[in-house]
Amino acid sequence: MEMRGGAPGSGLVGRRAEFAQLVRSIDEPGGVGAVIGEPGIGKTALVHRLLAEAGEGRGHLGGALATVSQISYLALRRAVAAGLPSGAWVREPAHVAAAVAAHVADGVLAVEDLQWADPGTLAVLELLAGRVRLVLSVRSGDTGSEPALALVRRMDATEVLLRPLETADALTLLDSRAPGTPPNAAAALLHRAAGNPMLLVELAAGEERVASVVLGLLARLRPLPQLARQSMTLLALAGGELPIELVAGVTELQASELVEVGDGRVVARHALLLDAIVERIDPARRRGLRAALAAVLGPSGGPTPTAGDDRLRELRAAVAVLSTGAEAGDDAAGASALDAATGAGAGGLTARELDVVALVGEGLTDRAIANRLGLSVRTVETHLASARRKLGAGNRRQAALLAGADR
Amino acid sequence: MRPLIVVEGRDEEWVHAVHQVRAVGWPVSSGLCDHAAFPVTGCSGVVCSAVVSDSAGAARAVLAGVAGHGLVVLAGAGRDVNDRLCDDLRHLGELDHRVGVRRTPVLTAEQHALLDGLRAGEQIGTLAERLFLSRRSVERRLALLRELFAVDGNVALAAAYGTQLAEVPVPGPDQPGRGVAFP
Repeated sequence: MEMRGGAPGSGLVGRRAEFAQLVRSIDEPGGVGAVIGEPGIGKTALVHRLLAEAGEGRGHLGGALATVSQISYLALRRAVAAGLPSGAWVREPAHVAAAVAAHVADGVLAVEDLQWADPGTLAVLELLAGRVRLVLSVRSGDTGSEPALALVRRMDATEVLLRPLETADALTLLDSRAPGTPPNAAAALLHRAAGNPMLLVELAAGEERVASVVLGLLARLRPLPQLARQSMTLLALAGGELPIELVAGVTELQASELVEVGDGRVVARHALLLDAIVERIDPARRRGLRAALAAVLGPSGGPTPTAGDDRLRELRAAVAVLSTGAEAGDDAAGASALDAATGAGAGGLTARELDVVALVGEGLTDRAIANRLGLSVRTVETHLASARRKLGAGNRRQAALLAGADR
Repeated sequence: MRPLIVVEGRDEEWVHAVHQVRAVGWPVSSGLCDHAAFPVTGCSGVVCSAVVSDSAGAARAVLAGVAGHGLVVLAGAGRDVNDRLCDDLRHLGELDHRVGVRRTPVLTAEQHALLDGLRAGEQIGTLAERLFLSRRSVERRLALLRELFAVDGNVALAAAYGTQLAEVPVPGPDQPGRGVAFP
């Protein structure tokens, strides 16, 4: 596709290669390019630049929105609303696709945030592949990301993955937004932004923006499974890095781009997020949890702890109550779980007790648990009562929650 | 550029933001139109001020934003709804998300009225007359404002207030009247 004057992608700090890749993806009519990455990584900037260079009247920009994701064809309506009669939007996807294709013709249709698109929009886009030039964007790690990425793959789109900016590029961006930032302050900003352009720009705008940035990062934890969220708490307590054997939910954490994995270690990317998680834990508990974590990790150079380590299970139980029981104001349960984790109270659960509460967490009855584990119902009841007592749980569900077994 | 402001805090902070937007020249409308009957048609350069307390309110706010309105929203829904609202508004323009401690003072309606007058060059007597206050009351209130902004003198106070107002985008020459109309 021919781009109008100027150097293609000029001004796109650290994204020239990705921009060229995106342009190539729609060289031919019917080509599809998809920009994929975490929130704030620069997907929108890339798409907007491409449309700007496509020329006046040739670009059609729409996008889905999380709050109103239920509205049919919203993402497409935002792109081509003015060109289609209102009656077009109550038709079946095939009719809508034909109308949109005729309207876009040899231009470019860009649809952002596919992870929030309604089923009608997704169906239309699939029908448009091969018929018009399509540029899509997908946020990684959101609830709708997987189906959106599956669609991108079915469409045989060129996937343009946006990674964190290199340090030199981040510095260039910072210089353009906050010229004259002293070197120490710049280094601190780059560290906190972790290569994310939006975070960098927000943080450079002043300390008042930090709370908003932190809320945005915490929001990225919400779609993750409970075990992955607990792992982020453990990572936060550990200072941001743990052996991979100790981190449950690594796949989900990687997909959300909150961690990086290498050399058998999981490393959290966002120091701001880690600080926010730790700050939300009562200081006394924080100390206890860190001591428990240190006990699990053992001395430097010692044997690598394993996921089956009872102390790790107990630690997870304490972390679980911080993220679940604590929300319900169940302070006593939290303290009890912490005691178990730190060895200061009634002690941890036995392996059998953990097995029982794990199955409770899956919703099994005592009889079903007994059958599964080859025990009598009475023995199961005994294990469960003991686990409840140790965890300070008032009922079966609390016990499962406290043991981190509730999925 | 239109204002897209989400306040997560006290009512006073939201009222302050509404006054800021009005002070720089935006027409402000209370509440959000009922956009339940999508499509939204037409729009103007109006800024809607509203309290969002649930997901339906958040949807109305986002649709108002899609239609081209500015927004000053007090977000009082759950964390998830507030986060999604902010996320969406960031896709519609530059979001001013006011959460946590702020550097500049939060002002009451009367304080805004005083400072707007001061910025417009009104004298103490005129201010007193317009706001139905005695000269002494106006002077006392201005003294308090100088303390809040940590400045000496009313000229510096007007300048500091102007700096605070610069947080908010001003209406451009092509506004009001911009926006996206849906068929």
